[in-house]
Amino acid sequence: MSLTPDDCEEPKFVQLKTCEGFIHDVETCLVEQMGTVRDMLLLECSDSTDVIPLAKIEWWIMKMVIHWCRLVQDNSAQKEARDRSSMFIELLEEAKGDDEVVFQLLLAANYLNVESLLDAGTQYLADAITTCGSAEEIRNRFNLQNDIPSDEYEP
Amino acid sequence: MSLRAYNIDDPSNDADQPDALVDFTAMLRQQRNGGRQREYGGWFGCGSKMQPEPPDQGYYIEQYVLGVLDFSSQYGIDYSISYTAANIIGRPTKYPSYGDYPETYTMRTYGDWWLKAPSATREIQAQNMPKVDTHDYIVVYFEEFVVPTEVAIFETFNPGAVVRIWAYGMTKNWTCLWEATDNDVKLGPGRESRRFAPPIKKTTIITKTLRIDFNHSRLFYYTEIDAIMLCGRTVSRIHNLLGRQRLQHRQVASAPSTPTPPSLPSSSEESGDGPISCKLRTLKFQPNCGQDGATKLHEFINNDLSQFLLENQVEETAEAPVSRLCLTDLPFEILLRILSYLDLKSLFRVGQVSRTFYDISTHPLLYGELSLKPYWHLASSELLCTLASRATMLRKLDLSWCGGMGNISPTEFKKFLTQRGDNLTHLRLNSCKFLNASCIETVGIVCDNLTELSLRNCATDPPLLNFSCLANLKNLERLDLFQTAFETELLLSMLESNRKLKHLNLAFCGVSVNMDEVVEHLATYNTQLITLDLWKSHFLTTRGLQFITKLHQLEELDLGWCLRESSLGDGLFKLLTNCPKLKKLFLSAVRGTTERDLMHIAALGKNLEQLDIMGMISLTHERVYDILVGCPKLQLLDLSFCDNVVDGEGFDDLAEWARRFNVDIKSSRFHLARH
Repeated sequence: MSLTPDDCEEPKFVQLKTCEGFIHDVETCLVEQMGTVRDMLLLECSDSTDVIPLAKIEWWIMKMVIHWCRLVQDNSAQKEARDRSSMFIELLEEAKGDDEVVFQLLLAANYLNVESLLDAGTQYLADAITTCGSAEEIRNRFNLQNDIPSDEYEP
Repeated sequence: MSLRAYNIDDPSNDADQPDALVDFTAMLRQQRNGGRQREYGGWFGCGSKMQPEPPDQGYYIEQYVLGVLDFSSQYGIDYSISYTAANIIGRPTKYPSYGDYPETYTMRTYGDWWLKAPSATREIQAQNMPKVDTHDYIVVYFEEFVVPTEVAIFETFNPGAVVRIWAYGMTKNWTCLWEATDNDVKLGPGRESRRFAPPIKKTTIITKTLRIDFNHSRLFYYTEIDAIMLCGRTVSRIHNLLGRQRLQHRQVASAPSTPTPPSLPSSSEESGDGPISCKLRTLKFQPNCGQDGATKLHEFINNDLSQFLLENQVEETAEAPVSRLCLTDLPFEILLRILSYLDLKSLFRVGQVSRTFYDISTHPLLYGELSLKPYWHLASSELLCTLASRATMLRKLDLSWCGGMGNISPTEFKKFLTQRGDNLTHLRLNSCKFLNASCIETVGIVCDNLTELSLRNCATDPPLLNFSCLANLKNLERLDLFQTAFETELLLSMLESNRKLKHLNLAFCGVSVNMDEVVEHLATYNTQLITLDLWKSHFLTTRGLQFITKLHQLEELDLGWCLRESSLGDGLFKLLTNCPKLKKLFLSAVRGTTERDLMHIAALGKNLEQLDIMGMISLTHERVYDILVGCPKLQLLDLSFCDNVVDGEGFDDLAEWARRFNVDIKSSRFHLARH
């Protein structure tokens, strides 16, 4: 990232438009965390005065991603992975989100290339899997169908 | 009168356990039937005093270690009686006294100092490690087979390192009898000796072999174990019992492990078109007569309930869209990323969830690093075979501690290596009992891309490394032969071939090695060396030390118990001058160290972080102070047996200096932490 967190003294804004047409005003320093947008600006696909269209993202997810970026920036002093995990759980609890929200966040993070959110989200799901004691528990937890016939089980 | 009076050394052994009373009565009965000793087994050289025809019910015995099968590390050298694993045999000799006694079992390391040193390595596939991981272990055996009721470990110095107790049953499986929780490790035990007997799992296994796991990251100094006691009920007619146990084991093994989702009673189905009934339609209904009906119902409710809740949630929150994403809707890379955080056990579990997950969980990218060390008790030839088919991109492999009781065959290992070893960069085979000369040869031939080879604790007779099998390796940066004997010629040729060598560990390599010759080679061929461990290389001389001074990149040097001469000459001065990057310097029991040498350390040791000058009898307070002032980065200073300094009035000074200079000052006699 080219800007340090302290550089947000005089925020410059970037406008991001989500699929419904809603426009989000986001400080440039936060947008720096979104690799896709940052690259767009770098490559001058669009001026910073233009509105950047993000057709794949819905407005409420965008809000959460922006919130995440802000959390990360505020916490930039403590960069340990552990903190990120608890930050993610906080974010989820605030939004009263379930697995659904996690998946949406991950898809958004993937599209926008927000590495930290991708990390935290995938780690969250990995932790959920490790707490399951059996394949059946995993299926229950994530509502998955079993399509392996019983005689095909590998050792 | 209680027969327990014999055990005056375990005062904590009171008659609160109801078991004891019952046994006592039984014993009395047996005694009347023709006299038998209550406690035997575990004595030096004593044979079993068993009657020719033992009665039906077993009797309760307490026994001490008869012999040691394996250990990952010890402080002393094999032929010595000080601080070696063999000291754990028999009755406790020091307990209940507390202190640093050579007649105990001590491991080579303590605390986290070795993890902070330049020679520290990273764990392979770190996500496999349990929260409280094992640093060291010892495997001991007793005389009599028993069903264990208690395991007591007599700790006589810095207690608190025991984290797991395992027992090897007659069915050839390891059972974990006890495991420390996070809390157990956090609470620092006091500085008193203790008879540590945690509550072990109730079990019916029959055993006479135990493995104790240690984690000493929280310890201030070395932990020392005086003895281990195994208490339990013996079994008569062992062969009959063995037959019965084996039969049970076979039955358990052949039972299907949840082959299909529980067969749902269709009468309780509510929504006819719901996903549950669709699921039902695609399944073959397979009633499992042996299963519990209540369990089925419970699982059915679980399934249905979660579905119901999910539907409910979506209706309530108007904001969230109703697209109903599933885990499998995530793109492949994200799923792969999620699975990459999983430990091996969870990964295999996920593979059983569905076809999709089986495909993802077997992707080679997830098997770039493989560590079976935390699964040492489960690792088998079959597992290796399964992993071989997946690990096509294997780069790092850790099979340490595996194959202890013949679970892995050398043939399977060689097959695995031949298939997957050609791209390996890191290979760790510490304490692998299945290794033979042929295996090592395979390593040498197949794994020519190795940058790290670790063969700790692989001492065999004749030595494993005894011909030019490893001469093909030319890219080594790290070679760890701790506690492993080797033929000098082989090592010399390896040193010549591996010019990029950075880390070399030859601790406990044995008395037959001409260490002067070895370091002469280092000075010629391996001048990029950063860390060198020559612990207990008795026959390293000052001549050798001169060669070491040519290694200008040295950051870590362990010369403990080397250089048995009266004077080092200018060796140490040269070393400190030529190796300014030195961070860790261990001169434990190097008797030739003089006052002048210490002045050099104080003057030149600008980067020193860890310093061990144990045994310097002539050490004075002034020199200690000089060193503390002159080495601003010092964190560890070991002054054990520097009798002039650690006894008497100087203690207060040392305590104050420890705080002022922020240094941990170690000694067998006291604890002086920086805070």
